[in-house]
Amino acid sequence: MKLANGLIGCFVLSLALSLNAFCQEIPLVDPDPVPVPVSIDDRVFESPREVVAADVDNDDGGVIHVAWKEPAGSTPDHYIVEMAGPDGIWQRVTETVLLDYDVMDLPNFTPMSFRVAAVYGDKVFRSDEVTGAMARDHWLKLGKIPVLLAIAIFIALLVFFIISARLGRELFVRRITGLNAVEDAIGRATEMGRPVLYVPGTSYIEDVATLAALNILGEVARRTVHYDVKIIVPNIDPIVFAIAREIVKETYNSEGRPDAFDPDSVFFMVPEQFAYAAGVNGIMVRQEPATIFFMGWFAAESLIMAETGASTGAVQIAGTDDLGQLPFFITACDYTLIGEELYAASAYLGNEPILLGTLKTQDYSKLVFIIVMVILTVLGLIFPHLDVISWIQVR
Amino acid sequence: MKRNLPLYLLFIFAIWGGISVFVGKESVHEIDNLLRNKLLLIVGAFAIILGLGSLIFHHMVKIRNKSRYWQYSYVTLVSLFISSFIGLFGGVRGEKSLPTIFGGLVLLAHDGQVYAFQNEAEMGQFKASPDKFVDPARAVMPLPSNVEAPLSRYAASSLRDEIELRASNARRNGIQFEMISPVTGKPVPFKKDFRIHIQQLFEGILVPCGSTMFAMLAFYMCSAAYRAFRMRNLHAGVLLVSAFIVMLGQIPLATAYIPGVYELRQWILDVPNMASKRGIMIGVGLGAVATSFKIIFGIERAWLGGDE
Repeated sequence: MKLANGLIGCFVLSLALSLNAFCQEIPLVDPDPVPVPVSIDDRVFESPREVVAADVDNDDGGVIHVAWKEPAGSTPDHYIVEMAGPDGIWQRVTETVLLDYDVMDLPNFTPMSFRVAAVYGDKVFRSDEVTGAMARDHWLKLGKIPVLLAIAIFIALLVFFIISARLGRELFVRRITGLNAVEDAIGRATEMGRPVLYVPGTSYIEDVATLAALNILGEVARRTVHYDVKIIVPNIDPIVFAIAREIVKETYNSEGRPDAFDPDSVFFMVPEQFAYAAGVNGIMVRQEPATIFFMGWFAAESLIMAETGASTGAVQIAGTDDLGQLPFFITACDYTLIGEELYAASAYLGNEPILLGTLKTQDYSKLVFIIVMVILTVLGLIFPHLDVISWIQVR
Repeated sequence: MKRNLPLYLLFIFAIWGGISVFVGKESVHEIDNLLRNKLLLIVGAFAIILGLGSLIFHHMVKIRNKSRYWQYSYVTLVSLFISSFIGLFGGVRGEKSLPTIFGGLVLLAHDGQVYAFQNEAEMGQFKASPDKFVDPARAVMPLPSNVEAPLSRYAASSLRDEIELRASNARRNGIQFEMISPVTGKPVPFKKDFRIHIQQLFEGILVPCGSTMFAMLAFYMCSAAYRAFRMRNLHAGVLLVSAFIVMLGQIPLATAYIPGVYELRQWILDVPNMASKRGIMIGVGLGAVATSFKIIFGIERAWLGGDE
């Protein structure tokens, strides 16, 4: 009841306030007068002031930074930056409304002249020429120092864990379900008498994910030799194909079964994304592999292949560092290696102490990153004037 | 030596690549570019030979063994040889000696203008006594500065494309576009040529086939989504609810009538989704660095086929 009375009271009060607002006299004075536009002819025309052209410090050359100040009179519509080489021929570099510009792709150690023009409608007012500006390349790029530091920390951790592993210290590595399933999945192929299909991604050899996929291929091939199962490796890139074939061939040799290597099991299929997907789907449907590995970098073809594989009833283990394709693999495959697990896979499967040391390095580097992020975030929040981002910014 | 030489080469080239990131000297970058672009191209060219050999061998084996659907291997091999022949001798767009463009509108470049004719005979008449027929008003278009007279098959084909584009633009703007023969004064109907050059094979066969495969993705997505969104446990339930909200937030009707759904969708994408994505990205970055170092320092040798 009290609540109802309170609500009614509030309603009456708000109604009274609104009526009061309506009854107030409307002020006759315009509170915000509209500024009278200045016609172009009334403006004071001047050229830009204090034009400076200087080489950018600690870069790889070819860049001159041109800066200037606004004319003392009216603000121009925009500025035109012009430059001339040793031949003295002036050319327009850019039009901008800003007060500085980085002129790129210049020859190093060549004196250049610059001037900036202020544009008012169809009138142009040029500054004095700044001569003798010269782009230079420098030995050390100071903007990359944070990367160098991070690499130094990483190498220090790597050396520490490799030495620890060599000294016989046992390194604990968390279980990765997808990789534990590799043995069972290949065993299943053996029992069913069907092949194992290994898809090493749809990227090129320059991609680290492809290299990781090739490293895993070595371990998977070793197990197929042990279980005497056929492995099929279709490739999208001829260079990746050449390396993949060498890996499988060498694995058969090192396991003492060179006779069992089928040169036709690792082959170059086609260098086109969807044609490759169609070809891989064809292998899945025709040869019905019991186990399918998707390792490396994938694009839109990931789901096309993974869904076809799922429809054949194969056990599928996927691993990719591409965030866009991860949900597709998680949905369509039995096990998925997420991001860094792809890079950890060969060390995990190989179970060699030194390789496990690199895994620990990866984990501890992540810890270092998290600590640095937390410290910088706290510092940034407590002391906003410190500009902590600039400490780690890479230029 | 067989095992160590690749490791030494890899170490030298990788360290050089790393140095070029931190050193700004132009000469260092020039060598790095040479290694990255030119040397890699040469290696790639050799690898293509290996790749082609593998492709032919793979399909020959299939035909020999009469594997399942071995007939399709003939399709692959025949297509490979035909397209290689056309590409090698006809060029990408028919600019080489092998004729890959047939028929089409008869065009002649004369005195900086392009004229269209009904047939070759008409063009012959024009060529015999051009002064009798030259009339810039009857030219289809001025000869582009990058095209030389007399027109090659490739240039004529490009001009036909240009004329077709102009005609369609004119039609769209309600302007009449007509080509008049300078010999007969009659309108010349537009005739398409028949092309079998590599670009045409790519655009006419490979692109539609690729698009068909890509279009199938929509159906695969539906079946995958059906499996992913079954509420088997709490995690799947959270996934289902968030996916439902994100999908609702994507639909204009829902955003118009359900207050806050768009903001909630954006929050899901920008906060929990982005946080997990960035976590994975940091891990990926470190993993990539670790893998690179493992390979550069020779710790990881699986890519060489093992340790021995």
